Amino acid sequence: MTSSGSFEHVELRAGAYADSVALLQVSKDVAAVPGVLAAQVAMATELNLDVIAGMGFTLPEATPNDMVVALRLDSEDNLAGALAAVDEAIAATRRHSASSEDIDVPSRTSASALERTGAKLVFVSTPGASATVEAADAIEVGSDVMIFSDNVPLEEEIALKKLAQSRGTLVMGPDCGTAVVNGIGLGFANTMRPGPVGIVAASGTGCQQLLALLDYANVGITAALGVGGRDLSSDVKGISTKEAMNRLDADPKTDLIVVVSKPPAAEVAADLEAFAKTLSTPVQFALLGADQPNLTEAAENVLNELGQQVPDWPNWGEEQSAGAGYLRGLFSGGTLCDESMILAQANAGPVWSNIPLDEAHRLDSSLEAEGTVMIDFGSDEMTQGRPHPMIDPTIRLEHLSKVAANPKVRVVLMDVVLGHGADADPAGSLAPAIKAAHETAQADGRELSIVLSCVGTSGDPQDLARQAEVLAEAGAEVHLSNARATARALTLMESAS
Amino acid sequence: MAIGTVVAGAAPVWVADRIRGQVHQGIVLHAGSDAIYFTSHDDVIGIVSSQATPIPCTISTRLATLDGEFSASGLPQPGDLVTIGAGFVTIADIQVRVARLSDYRMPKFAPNSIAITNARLRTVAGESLQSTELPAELINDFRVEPAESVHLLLGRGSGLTPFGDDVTCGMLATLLATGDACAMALRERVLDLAPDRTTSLSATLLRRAAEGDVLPVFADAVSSLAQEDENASERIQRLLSIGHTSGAGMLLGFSIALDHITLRSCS
Amino acid sequence: MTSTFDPNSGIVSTGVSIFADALADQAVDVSRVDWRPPMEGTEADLATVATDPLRKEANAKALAAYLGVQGNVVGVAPASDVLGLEKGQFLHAGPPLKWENASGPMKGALLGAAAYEGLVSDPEDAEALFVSGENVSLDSCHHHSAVGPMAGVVSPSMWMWIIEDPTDGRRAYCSLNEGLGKVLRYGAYSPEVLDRLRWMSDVLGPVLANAVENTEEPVNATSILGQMLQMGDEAHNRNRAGTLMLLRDLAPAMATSGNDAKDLAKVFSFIGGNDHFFLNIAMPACKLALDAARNIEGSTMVVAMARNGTEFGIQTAGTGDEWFTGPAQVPEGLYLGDYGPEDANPDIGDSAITETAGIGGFAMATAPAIVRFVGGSVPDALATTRRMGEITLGNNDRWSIPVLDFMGAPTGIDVTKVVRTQILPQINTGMAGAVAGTGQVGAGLVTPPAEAFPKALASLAAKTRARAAGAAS
Repeated sequence: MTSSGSFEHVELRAGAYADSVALLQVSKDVAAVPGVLAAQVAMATELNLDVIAGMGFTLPEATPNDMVVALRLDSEDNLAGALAAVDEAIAATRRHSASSEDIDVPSRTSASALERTGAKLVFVSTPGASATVEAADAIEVGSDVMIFSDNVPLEEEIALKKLAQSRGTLVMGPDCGTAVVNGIGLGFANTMRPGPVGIVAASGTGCQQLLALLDYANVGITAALGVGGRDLSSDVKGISTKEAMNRLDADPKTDLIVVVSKPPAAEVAADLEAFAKTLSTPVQFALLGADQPNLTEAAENVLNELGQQVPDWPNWGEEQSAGAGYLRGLFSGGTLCDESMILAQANAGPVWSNIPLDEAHRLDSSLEAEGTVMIDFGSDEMTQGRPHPMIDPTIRLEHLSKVAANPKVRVVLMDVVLGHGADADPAGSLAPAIKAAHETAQADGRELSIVLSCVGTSGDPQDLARQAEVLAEAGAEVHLSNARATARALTLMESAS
Repeated sequence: MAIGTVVAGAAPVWVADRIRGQVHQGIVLHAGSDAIYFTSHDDVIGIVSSQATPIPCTISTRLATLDGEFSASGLPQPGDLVTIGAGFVTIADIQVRVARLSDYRMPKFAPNSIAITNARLRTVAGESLQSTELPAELINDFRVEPAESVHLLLGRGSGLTPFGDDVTCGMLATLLATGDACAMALRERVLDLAPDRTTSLSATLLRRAAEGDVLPVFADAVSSLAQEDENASERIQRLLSIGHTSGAGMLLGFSIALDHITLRSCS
Repeated sequence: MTSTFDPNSGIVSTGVSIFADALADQAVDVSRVDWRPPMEGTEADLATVATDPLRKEANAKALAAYLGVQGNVVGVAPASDVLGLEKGQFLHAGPPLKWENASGPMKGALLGAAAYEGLVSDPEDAEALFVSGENVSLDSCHHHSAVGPMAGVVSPSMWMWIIEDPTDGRRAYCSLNEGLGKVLRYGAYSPEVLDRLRWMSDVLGPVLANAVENTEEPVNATSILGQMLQMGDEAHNRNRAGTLMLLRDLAPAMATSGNDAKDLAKVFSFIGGNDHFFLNIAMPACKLALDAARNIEGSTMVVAMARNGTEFGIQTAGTGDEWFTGPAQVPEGLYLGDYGPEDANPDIGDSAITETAGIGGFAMATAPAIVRFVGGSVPDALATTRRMGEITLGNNDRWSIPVLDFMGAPTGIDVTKVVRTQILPQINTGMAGAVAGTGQVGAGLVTPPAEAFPKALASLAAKTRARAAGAAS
């Protein structure tokens, strides 16, 4: 202590070299900190020691290799703060400023990009075998991650989610197709307005259908957090689902949490229901499958819960004619295909598929069978080595022309999924294909009915209304609701029989 | 920036709806490196750089500065025509579209959290609530009878958003969020007076407050107080750094609203 | 908050570009990772190590342990005294090596050292001795807290720098630098080489020992490294400023030592004429610091890279004293006189300890004066240092690089990042002639054999799995 009542602190830092210009700036910065009366940070050269002594400090023995930190404070209480300011100022002299015009080397790992930007979210779409490592980079620095990649080994998913759990971060995925955070669509996602619903979804296209219907009812969301198809399995035990529910519960703007998933394993379902009861926000489970409400009914339940009116779900185009023949479903969304199959099976018997409801009706590689056929062109085995049908329509269009030439086919059901990440103008290629399909049938003296679900929101970049109108004009009956589209397709078939 | 370039931005729903709707024209009110403001019907809409704080009438772009991006024909001049509608705002050769909808909603408050929130506000930001711009008597009148005294605040003070308007925005949004009995009367009075009493930008923000929309920094700050967030102090500081006195005005309005709810209710 | 996510800090996108484009279209800042597949067949091991709960803290601990060490020059003494070497015992650079696998320069240096120790009178006669293995033994410098440049041969009579950590008394050692050209460490063993070695132990060693002992404040090697990096040295292929600072610090004690003035004059001119003199202090200073990071379970940080002229070996913090090796590569660079690539021996020496510590090739940006010497340009040098940042755990703020806005040298090579990015550590090096007795033929750049890193990764992954199995049972 000095007599004047101020507090003096002098310390030597051996080997902490910095150049004199940098240290001048450090001294200046530290001197400006509240509570600091005087500050000198310098290498302990004779000249500098003289200067510091001249400021009235008492100095210990020092060598020119030492850095001297000399502080005079109004009170000892401010010492910790002042020393922190010294460290910060020294660090600042070494910080890389983005403005310097040296060579820019691209980030080669997520870790590197996170370090450079401080981003709080990483989107991973590498091959599945490498996704875990990139995701771990995010978890390590406390950032959330969405893993779009599929084919991530189950044991890696478990290890990753346990690691995330211990660090309080959220892992969306693997195989998570859709998420919306702060209005930002990640992966295949729709433009959504802010609103009271928070969604946790284990199914990408299931989530998109819900988003499309809520948007049409003028209901927005706080977030739609994807968790990946395996999260609610007995292996993963809903680690991400719970974290996502926690996040939504803590958000004062979320009035209702909706969990969209296939029915979870029994013990996970029980655990999740008990967990939901601990939250202060009501939770609605929209479980998909036979004997469960379909996605449209789930959306209606959400609206009812919010006290919102359920609108008449829109459709575009002329009603297609009924007739006798087979139904062919050509889908890009797995959950939409599933939903249609469940509805069709209940009304028109077994459905052949590459993702069949029962193994007895698995399609072979010809993708043809007698009876109702529904194909998910977005399934893993169909997308190997080629882009997803939501991005590139080629494979579905080829198949459409094939089924149009099949005299046994009477009704075609398809989904068109809009939003970020998807084909910028699906109607642009599908409308001509629909016209061509009708022409093929007519040339053959037949009629073909084409029913579409067009899943999108009013703000989507493709413009929902325009897409639907173009498709309707081409000769399709277009519905916002996939369940409605499916019901219509079944009606057209039924009334024929 | 090349001719025909489309710049993407994030905006509140009402701005997106306006831009998606009927084509109409407005005029540029102000153009600087971080913000271009123009009229659209009775409202004012801004296109802002990534450096500017989003407010409930801006399209926030990721452009570091608008200067460079609008340089093909230079920054527009006040009085220049702007075309709004059919999906775009068009200024000279630049088109701006809304690619994302941002949340400007005021968070809801549980009535039982008001007293605690108010106490925490005094602890964290007591000093910043000492207004030198408004007489104590006026603040008191506004607290007791908001609808009856708001005409004395609107348009009072300097700047594009006069201090009295900032206070009113904070007060109105808070009363609406808490469902206070006086909220609707105040709202009607504000909607009634705003077009004539203040700048058109400020009138736009008052109308947004009447719809429950506030600056995200304001929403963050007040919800961090209500949620016992450890970052409350930092968030309050961020709010106070907005504009010359805008952030402080909104916080004062919030404080008056909490006092109003605690001490007195409308008949 | 629904997320810790703040859109203003942007989103990192790793993988296919269409989703990054979709984000940019939504007025979001996207940081795109230039992702490429990892080294072949490493995906599962990478995932195992990436999700090891110990990894983050273990790497932070290893890096902090390394960064916390400072080395003082506390003495100079014969290897027989400080390492307990006895006649017939020889240390060499790199991972352990048998005589029959030794390369030309390694054999040359061992032959010369045998003659220097008086085991034979003509170096060429020593070959039979090493072939028989009777009364002679070889071991790695690294196994004795020592490092040796190039062949790195240490024999009992050679004088060693002693670098000490003042906080715990740990030490690291290195021989005295002989200069360039025909020198033992490059495999030369002609009479002039042996004469110089004898002068070094008769005069240079004792003079330096005396000077170090009588210099009041010990010379802080870590601090000199920090200063020399700001003066154009990268402390592997350029040590000019460091050498002169060392001379400056020792000169007063030397002047007053009472040593013969002619001897002192020769010592001054020997040191002053050898720009690499400080390298043999830089190396043990790096070794001392990196040894502090050894034996930290779960850490993937590299603590040693060393070459014996035949194999290149690495060691990591999480795998004890195990070496992971592959064939040493031939450097690319410039050749002295008429020498060409066919004359060069594969990579040799412990001096890659400097790169392991974040200097040398990793600090290339700070040494534009020598970029041509190693066959590059200044932009290459800046890019190299930045690129090394992609495979390291952090930066050493003691070693800041002015031209990169005082960024600390990228430090702490992470095995997983090397395997992921396939970016190999860049090493600045001298080149020895392939034929024993030749000496230096050039200098240039070299990288480790890629295979050493997946091997280290596999061992780390095996340990992680064993720990997980142990925890589960």
